Amino acid sequence: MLDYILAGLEMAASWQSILMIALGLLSGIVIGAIPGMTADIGIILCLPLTYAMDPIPAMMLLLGIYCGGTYGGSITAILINTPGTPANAATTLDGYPMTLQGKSLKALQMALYSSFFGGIVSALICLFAAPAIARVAQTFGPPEYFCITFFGLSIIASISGDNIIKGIMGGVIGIFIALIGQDSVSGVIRFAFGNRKLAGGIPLLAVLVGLFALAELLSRSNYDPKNDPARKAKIKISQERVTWKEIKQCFRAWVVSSVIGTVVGATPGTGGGIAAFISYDQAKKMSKHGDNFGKGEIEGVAASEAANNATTGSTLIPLMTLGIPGDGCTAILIGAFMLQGMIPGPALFRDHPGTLYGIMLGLLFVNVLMLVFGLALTPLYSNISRIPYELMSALIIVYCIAGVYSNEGSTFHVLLAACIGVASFLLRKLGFSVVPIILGVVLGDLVETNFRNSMILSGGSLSIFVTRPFSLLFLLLALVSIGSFFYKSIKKHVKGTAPEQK
Amino acid sequence: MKMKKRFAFLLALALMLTALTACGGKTASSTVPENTSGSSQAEEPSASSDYPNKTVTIICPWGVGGGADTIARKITQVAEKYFDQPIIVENHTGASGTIGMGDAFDAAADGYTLVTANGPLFSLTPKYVDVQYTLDDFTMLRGMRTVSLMVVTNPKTTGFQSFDDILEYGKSHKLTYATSSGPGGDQYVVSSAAFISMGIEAEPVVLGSEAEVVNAIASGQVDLGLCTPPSYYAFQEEGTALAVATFYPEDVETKFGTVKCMENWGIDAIFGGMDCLAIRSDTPQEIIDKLNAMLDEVYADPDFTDYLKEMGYNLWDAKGDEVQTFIENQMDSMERYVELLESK
Repeated sequence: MLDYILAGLEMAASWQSILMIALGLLSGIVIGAIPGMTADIGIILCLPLTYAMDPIPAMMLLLGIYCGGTYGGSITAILINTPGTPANAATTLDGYPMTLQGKSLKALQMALYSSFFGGIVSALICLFAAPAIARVAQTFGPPEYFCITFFGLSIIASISGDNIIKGIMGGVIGIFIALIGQDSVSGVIRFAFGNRKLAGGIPLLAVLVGLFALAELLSRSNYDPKNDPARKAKIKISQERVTWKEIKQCFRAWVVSSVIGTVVGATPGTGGGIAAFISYDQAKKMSKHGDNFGKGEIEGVAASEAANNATTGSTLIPLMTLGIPGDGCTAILIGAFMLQGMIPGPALFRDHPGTLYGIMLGLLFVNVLMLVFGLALTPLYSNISRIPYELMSALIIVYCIAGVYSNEGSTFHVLLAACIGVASFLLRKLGFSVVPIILGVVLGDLVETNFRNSMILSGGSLSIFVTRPFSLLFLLLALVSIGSFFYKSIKKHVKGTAPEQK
Repeated sequence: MKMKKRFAFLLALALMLTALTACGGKTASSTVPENTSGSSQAEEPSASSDYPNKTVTIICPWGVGGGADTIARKITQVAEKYFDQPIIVENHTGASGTIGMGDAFDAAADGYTLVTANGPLFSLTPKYVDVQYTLDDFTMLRGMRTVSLMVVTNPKTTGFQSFDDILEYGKSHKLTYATSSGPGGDQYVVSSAAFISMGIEAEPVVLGSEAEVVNAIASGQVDLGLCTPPSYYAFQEEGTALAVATFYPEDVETKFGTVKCMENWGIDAIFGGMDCLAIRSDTPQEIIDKLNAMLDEVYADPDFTDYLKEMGYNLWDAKGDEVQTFIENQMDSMERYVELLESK
């Protein structure tokens, strides 16, 4: 193995690879930061450029976009309350409140450090434990996928803010949106009302843009630049940076989130969004400042950003060893491997070990360079919030509509996004948080399909979820998570108005 | 003043990004060399004699990295040697491939838009999705590859050594099988028809990708699975996967020996998977000839044939008429299977 690592290092450290990493990261960060463009689109756009390249520089370009995009999405999540990609939805919960408090620079820095930490941990695990994890992942099937996504749904409780009932209602609305379209098991078309365009389902991007960006714009539509209290008061963007104390405070969240991100990433069909939500929930429960989550707590940003970048390395494990994509981006990476004449699957480690180790080592470089670029760029884009809102809002609208349209070249989807935007605006006015809704949309389809597939496998018996070791483990984790929420809220209730400790 | 300058810079940057958004999307196109943008402005060719004078696009109705996409991209790469203009692949995905087909149908019949098609786009999908095109609207240019759909099982966990074992077991037991095509998909329809005609009760587990199907078979989660070579080869070497029968119209030679087709058991469930290149049928013959001449060169180039062999794709060097007949036959059989399923 050491020979392969050395050979791989030689290829990964070539100037071509480093150049490609730099190009990939820069474009990835920009693409990730634009609402309506995700890392998937960036990878597809750059794929033809890789034809003429050697495998390692080619994969470095694409992995740079992948990692940069996952991190870049946090920038808009923090600054304008619109996650750049679905994986950053949890970051809005605390990142945006921090911006409102003038602490945008601090939040952006924490997002960068956390992404770096998660990415490095994941890349190291991928490098040293890929074959072992692959053996475990191979035994995963619909029951395990179901239990992990169920775990994801169970955290609605802790992200719904003050009102749990509204949180659950939001989650249900999200699941309902996910149900629209053709059912993947029986083929029945649901809730399309005879509209052929709805039969294809509602794309996640349209939901994301409508739910966050358009609704945010609507809710500020009475904005008057002459009467902007922030501008009148001349609130300065604090130049306050992340302190050592805060890093120490977040360290535990980083470690836990990186582990969660790695496990979720290695599970096919999940992705960064679920990892970020589960980690956010765990961090909230373990933190001393749990009650401050959702109000601008830096640990919240740390947890969700470490987790979503921790999926970037581990999604490569099922991809390279089994040929199974861990999320949408890696599904396209499979295509990139094929174009290089490498078929992802069990034979890949046997036939191209040097190249694979080169790619895994390159992933470490990707993360290091991401930190360097991030440090150089963060002060620049923390100034984005200086752009007058009347200009900013117009730009956001243009990006969003262009992004939704270009995804499938469909004006219908733009219309859908607009409707979702209006609905989301009304829900916000009624005191709903939109984050449980996006969670429901992301997970609804996965939960249903995997539950039904499990039932087919077991002949209709629910025992399949408890007789398989890993599915039992994930199920227990979900139950503990729900249990601890109720335990805490009962305890709080009993204490009544007693002043908070700590 | 300084503030203003910085603001102007940010605004410029933002405008640049806007332009970038506009070229985003599910299209994967390579950058077009400078010289072609000039000539394309010089109006489209009135005569087909100066064809080609701008970039030719192959629309792939499926995602990046699939078989048709990979082969089409290889064709564009090899064709650089034989064609005066660049050829690019764009993926117009969605609605079971009918979005891309619709775009190819809407494009001008000037020979600058080709499409990668397959049988089910004509024989099956139109039964479930509204489409504007018919088989008559397209001329088949050339076959790309054949795909033989296999029934694969894991002899170690199921104990099945042959298709006969499965038929025997299925008489008294319900089977589960994994497939990567959902309702209305080709595999789903053909396999459902097959199980009905075998008198076996079987339930499909629809998984997201073929790799997951293979994995579900090899790890013993399902009794059977439907997959295509070479996805299961690595597992057959280990002994955790075994192809026992194929839906292809005739027996198929694989790395591990002959796999018999369904006809050997008297089961009416035939499905020959294939991908082909097609173009609008009202394209001038002169242009079609030029494209065929280019494809002749590409298909004879070892760069192309070796790549396909290495990837385990089964090159199908069939001329347009042969492809046409193949699709017509498939339309007849699919008609029967859909009727059979609907009568159930």
